[in-house]
Amino acid sequence: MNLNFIITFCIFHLSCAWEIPDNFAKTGHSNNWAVLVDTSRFWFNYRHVANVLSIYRSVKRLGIPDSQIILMIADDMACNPRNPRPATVFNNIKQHINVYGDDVEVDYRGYEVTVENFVRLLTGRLAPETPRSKKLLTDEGSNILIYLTGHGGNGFLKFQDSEEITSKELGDALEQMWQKRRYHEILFIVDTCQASSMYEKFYSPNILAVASSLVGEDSLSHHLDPAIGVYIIDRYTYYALDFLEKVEPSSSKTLEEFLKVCPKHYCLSTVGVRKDLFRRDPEKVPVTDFFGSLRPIELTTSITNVLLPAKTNKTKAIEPERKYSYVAQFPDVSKFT
Amino acid sequence: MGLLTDPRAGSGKIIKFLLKWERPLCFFLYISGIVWILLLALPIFNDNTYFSENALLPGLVTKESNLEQTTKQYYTHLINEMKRYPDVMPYAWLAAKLNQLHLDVFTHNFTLIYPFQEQQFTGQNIYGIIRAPRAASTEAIVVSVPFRPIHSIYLDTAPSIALLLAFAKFCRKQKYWAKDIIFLITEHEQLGIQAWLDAYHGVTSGNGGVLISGDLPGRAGSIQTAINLELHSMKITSIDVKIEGLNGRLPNLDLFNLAQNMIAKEGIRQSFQRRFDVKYKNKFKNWWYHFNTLLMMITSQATGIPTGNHGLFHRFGIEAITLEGFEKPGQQSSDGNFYQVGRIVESIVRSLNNLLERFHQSYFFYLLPSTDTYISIGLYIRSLVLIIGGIFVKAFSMWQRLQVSTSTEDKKNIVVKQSKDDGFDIGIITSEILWAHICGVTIATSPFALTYVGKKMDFRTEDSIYFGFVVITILTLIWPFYFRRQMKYKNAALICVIALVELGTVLMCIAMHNFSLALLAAVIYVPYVFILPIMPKQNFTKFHRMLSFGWISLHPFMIASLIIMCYTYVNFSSDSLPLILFRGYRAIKQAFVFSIVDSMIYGNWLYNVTISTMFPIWFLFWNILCSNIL
Repeated sequence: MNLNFIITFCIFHLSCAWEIPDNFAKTGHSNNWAVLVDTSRFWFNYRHVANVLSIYRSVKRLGIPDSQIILMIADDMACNPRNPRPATVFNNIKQHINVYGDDVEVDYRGYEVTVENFVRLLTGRLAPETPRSKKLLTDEGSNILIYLTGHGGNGFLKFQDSEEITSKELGDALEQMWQKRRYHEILFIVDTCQASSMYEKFYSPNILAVASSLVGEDSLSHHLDPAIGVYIIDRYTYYALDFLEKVEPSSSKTLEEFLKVCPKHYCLSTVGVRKDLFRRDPEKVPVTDFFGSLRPIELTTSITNVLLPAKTNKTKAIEPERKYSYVAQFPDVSKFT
Repeated sequence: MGLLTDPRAGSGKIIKFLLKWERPLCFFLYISGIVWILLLALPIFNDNTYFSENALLPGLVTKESNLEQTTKQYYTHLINEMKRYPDVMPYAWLAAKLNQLHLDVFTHNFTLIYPFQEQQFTGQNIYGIIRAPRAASTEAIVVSVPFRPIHSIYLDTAPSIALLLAFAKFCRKQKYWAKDIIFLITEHEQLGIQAWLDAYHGVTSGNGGVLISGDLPGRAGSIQTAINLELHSMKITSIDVKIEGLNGRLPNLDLFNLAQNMIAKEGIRQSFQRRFDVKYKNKFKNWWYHFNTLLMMITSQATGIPTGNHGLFHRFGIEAITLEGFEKPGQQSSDGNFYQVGRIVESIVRSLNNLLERFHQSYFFYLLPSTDTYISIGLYIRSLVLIIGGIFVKAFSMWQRLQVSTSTEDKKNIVVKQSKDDGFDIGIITSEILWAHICGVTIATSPFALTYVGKKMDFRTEDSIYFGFVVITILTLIWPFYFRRQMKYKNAALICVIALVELGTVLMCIAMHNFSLALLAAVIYVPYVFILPIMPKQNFTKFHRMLSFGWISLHPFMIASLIIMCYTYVNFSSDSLPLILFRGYRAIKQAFVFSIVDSMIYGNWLYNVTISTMFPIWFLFWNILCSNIL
């Protein structure tokens, strides 16, 4: 009874100290996943790797564990022989954050990053022997953040140097996910040229899509690091990170604010948003619904009595011993012999 | 129903039009081709150069080198060493310096057995390899310098050797190389580089048993690109980028752009064909300047002789250029500027290091009217096609006329006069063509016999080849007069048609390999072919006689001699006329020998192609002009 009392006291106290947001318990999702994909290889595409690693870092900082982040990186920039800073990837000219730091778990690397693997991952059609770390083990309560970066064109996104995924294929994969109850809501972010063409063919519910540029526009890089000799981050991702850096797991920033990140005079391309499939109002959705991993906790102010289980007599029920016998063969041929 | 072979089937409107306007049309095509070439130099017809290759990342990285002091130190040591051994390359010193930098240093010996006299020359190349520290040794970049002894007739290259050593020292300390870098110092100009490349790839490019390249003791990966340095002074005020390679091959335009851009970025004047980018306000002057640059490129490409050591790399699919640095005479800048020159080389090599594949994005066929504009093959080939188109129009209309005349004759002589008389005499025609070509091939292979005979008479190689060619020329000129043959007009015309078609085809084939050569040949030969008087002798006027006499000057040997004479005159116009003639005469002798030797050592096909294709065509026309056409 003592324990009960303490818990109730604590909860009562907390509810006085915090104003619980209205929609705190109304998100409807029970877990968060992130699929972060860099689709392009080669040294001069350093910035795409930096993009995806930066998002990875933010997502992890906001609480999604590595086990629920699928990180796909098509090329190893850190160990590229051309890298003058071996074993590092930076996303800023000041080089204060090594986004390829201590604790990066890359799930799909190099030539494993293919359209087939990506679609199989989304739809859950991977071979049974695939390790858990390479599977997207989501359910109908999962909020998924999908972030893609690479080189795109009108209606496709190039994977590696050899294949591409079309917007139709991606739309179908998401529909399959919906039908298989693999997600609750999806925040889909794509940072490529003509990015908005990627979400045009979506038709499944509960998807909020953001693209770094409209059809006919290029997504541009943000700045160059002359010490490394490559462009190191794209504009949209740079400003998105700028926003995410100020987000804490407990902060109440909403998705609407995130959608306004990178206006045209910063991005030089128009950020495209598709809201019609998303059933909630982005103004009331906290960013942490997708970028963080806050489990909804139902709070109660009423006292509940937790009854301790009564001590029962645990005597083993004695089962009567059965006798086994052979059943007659079917069809019975004994009478003919 | 019109059959394909029915002579009347083709006499439609177009053919009638062609027959009527044949000569004006031919000249119109020729002139429009020439005008097209002239227009190409107009800035509005040129596109600005740009980088096609994403991976190059030109000039994005901070340059870290400061080679001024190290270059100066190496330079003073090298000059001392060269003074001690004025005639040979200081092998030991160079190898020691490269060894001190902890490079993999190797020497390569090669032998040249001079084809016409049993003489042997030997030479040595020295090269050091920096292995890419974090990559497999599968690809390499070459930085090369030709060594020239103090008494060499060519401009000094000691500063570039000093820069090469200083740059090697810088590169050794860097950890970002993804390709091996080969630092190569070659001897005996192009012989050294040819022998080294042959040895590196294990092939023999020229005739067997002439240049014996041996084997290399050490190799790096497959060579992607090469930069050849020829810096003539320790104070470089301008850098010229040379691109023309063996047989008129060019490096990828991206490499040329890269070099020009990097030079401009470091604030040194860049030039092409030793001509700076000058912008005149006067439009005509501007055009004229660009046109001259273009013309210089065309003429130097047409010879098929590499303008520097870079030219021999192209055969192996290696993109290569030469950076030639000059000092402006009279300008006394207080300091050297190898700081900048070093940074140019650094940034070029750093960009090449970024490459993921061989150069393939940009043009391989182009012409350049200035350092920052280009003319693509899609534009310039039209001029040649227009010019050559005239030949085919002429051949076709001649053929049609023959058909028409046969058919009308047939109608007149219904009296059965078997086709033996009015048809073509296939035997005469084929033998004529066959003999002309056999002559061509024989002359192409004659130099060995000429030198052999010459040696018996104690002639020098130059003399025996030159006089041999003179004799051949005279023989071919008087040959048709000696056998004063009679030929029917029809046969003569058919030979003419075949020769025209062959000329057009040969020119087009040459254009595929060396556009400039085909263009120059077409500009010279095509108009003359249009006006050649192929007609029965009784219609000949004095003017016609003169025209056919003029054909002599288009004999390949004659025209080569004329061009060299003009070239000598242009270069030494201040000398007196006899002296110019003497100089020209010596130059012609040497040019013949060089073109033959080049074809043996390097595989330059200028001599072989002109003699085995252009000569027979010339000879066919000459035979017809001289024979008695009935």
